[in-house]
Amino acid sequence: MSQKKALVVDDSTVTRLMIRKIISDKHPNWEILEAESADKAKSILPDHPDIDLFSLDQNMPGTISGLDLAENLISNYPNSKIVLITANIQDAIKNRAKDLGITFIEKPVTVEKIIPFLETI
Amino acid sequence: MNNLTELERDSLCELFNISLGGAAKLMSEMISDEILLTVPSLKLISKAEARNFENLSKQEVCTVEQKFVGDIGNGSAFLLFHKSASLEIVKMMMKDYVALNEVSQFEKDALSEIGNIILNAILSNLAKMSNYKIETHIPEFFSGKYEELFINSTSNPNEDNSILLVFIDYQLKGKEIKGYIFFILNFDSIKNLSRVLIEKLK
Repeated sequence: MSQKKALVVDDSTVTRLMIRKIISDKHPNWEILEAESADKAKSILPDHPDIDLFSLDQNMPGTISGLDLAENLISNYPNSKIVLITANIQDAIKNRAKDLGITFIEKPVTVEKIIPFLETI
Repeated sequence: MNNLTELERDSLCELFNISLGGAAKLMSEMISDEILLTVPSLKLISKAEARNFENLSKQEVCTVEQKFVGDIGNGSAFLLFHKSASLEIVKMMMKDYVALNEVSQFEKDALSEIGNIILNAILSNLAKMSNYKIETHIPEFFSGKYEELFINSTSNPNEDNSILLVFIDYQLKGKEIKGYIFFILNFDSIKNLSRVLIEKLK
C-alpha cells in the first residue's frame, strides 16, 4: 500500500500541530506537509502532485482564503479529499463549503471531529 | 453619555448571553475545564470609563483583537486575560500536544487561536441572529499594559462618548483565572443592532 500524503494549511502553528498529531496518531506512516497560508500552499503544490488530503483554514494572511484555494484544488486534485477547519462558522462560509462538496469542521480541532473524516480516505 | 431603552438593552443582553454561551462551550472544549460565566449581563460604558474598568488600567494583560466590518458597522471584539493567567491557559490547551517545558513558546500563537475561535463564534452568532453580514480579519495579539490597548484605537479623544464597550466576564472553575470579552462598537451601531433584534422578536 502506497504512503499517503496530507497538506495542513493554517496560519496557527498550534492548530497545525494539533491536526498533525491527530493524523499521525491515526496514520503513523502518512507524510504530512504544512503551510502557514494558502499562498504558501499554492507555491509548494507543483512539487507535490500526489496529495491525498488537504486540511484548510479559511481566514489566513495573504491574497487567498481557504475556500478560494479549495476551488483551485478541486479541479487539480479531483481524487483528493478536502476539509475546511475554521473558526469562521457563519452560514455563508458553511454554505459555500457545502456547494463545493467540502467537509466543514468547526474549530477547535478535536480527535472526535476529525477521525470520521479521516476514515473516509 | 448615550443611553439605550430597557427593551434595547434587554435584546442586546439576550444576544450576547446566547453568543457567550456558545463561546464558553468552545473554550471549555479547548482547555478541558468548565467555564463559569460570572456576570451574565452586559455593560455599555464610554471608552474613558473603560480605561479604568475594574482597576485594570495599570495591569499587564494579553488580548486578542478581532476586527470586523459589515452591516453592523466597523468594530473590534477583544478577548482579554490577565498576563499572569495566560500561560496557565495555554498549558491547559496544549497539554496533550507538547511537553510542559515547551508550552511557553506557543503562548502567543495559542492565545491568538483561542481568541480566533471564541470571537469568531460570537460574531458568527451575532451575524446569524441579526441577519447581518460580518467580515472578520486575522486576529491580532497584544501583550502589555491594559491602558495601552486604547491608545491606538482613539484618534480623537473627544470621540470618547461615541464609543461603547460591551464587557462580559467569565471565570475558569476552581482556578484563579478570570477573563473578559468586550466589544468596541460605535453607539449608533449598537442601537441599530438592538432595533434589528427587537424587530425580529415582534
